[in-house]
Amino acid sequence: MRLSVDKINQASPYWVVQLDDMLFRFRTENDVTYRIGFYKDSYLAREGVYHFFISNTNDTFAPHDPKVFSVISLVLEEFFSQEEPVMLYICDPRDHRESIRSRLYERWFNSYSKRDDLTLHTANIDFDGYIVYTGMILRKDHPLYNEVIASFDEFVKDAPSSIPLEPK
Amino acid sequence: MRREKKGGIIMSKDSLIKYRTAEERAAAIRGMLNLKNEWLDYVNKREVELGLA
Repeated sequence: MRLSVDKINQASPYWVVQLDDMLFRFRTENDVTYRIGFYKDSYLAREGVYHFFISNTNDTFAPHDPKVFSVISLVLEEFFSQEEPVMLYICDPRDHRESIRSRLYERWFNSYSKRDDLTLHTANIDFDGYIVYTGMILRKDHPLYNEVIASFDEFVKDAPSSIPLEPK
Repeated sequence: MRREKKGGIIMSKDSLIKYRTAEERAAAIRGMLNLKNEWLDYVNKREVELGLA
């Protein structure tokens, strides 16, 4: 699957550079460089499922910039305009920014003009005393919609909270 | 059976991974949580390849 940077740049407030089929980079007016993209999952499915990631320079907090959200939205929209896209996210609780990430995805979903075509399916996993926020977004017309949802539910259920997050 | 189209393999029912035990699932969750580090390594590698690092 190759996403189109040309489509993204038609509306993006910042110039986006494509580093790979599903990987992009842009720099803001605050001189913060973001990398954003999708990475193939191999834990829920062997094909067709991708994790969404974003990181900024040094992966730290950056000044609030609403244009960043606009760029993220365009990249996500381009992803969901593809055939059979499934996006997965799992928010690492170890840096204590997991709820911020989770809210970002929900905020994008709620603001997306075509959200009626998509399902946002979330789950919180109690894992080693942490709450791990996870979610999946897929198109309602996905040919394996029910199977993918069921597989995700099966995956997140009954995660053993006694098993440590970090292997000892 | 794997479904194919131009551009690669697309998802089939066989694509979905089943875990037999809670421990296997826990290990998978741990793996997922470490994916971002893997992604960051890949990003750095691409930037070096493209002379953008």
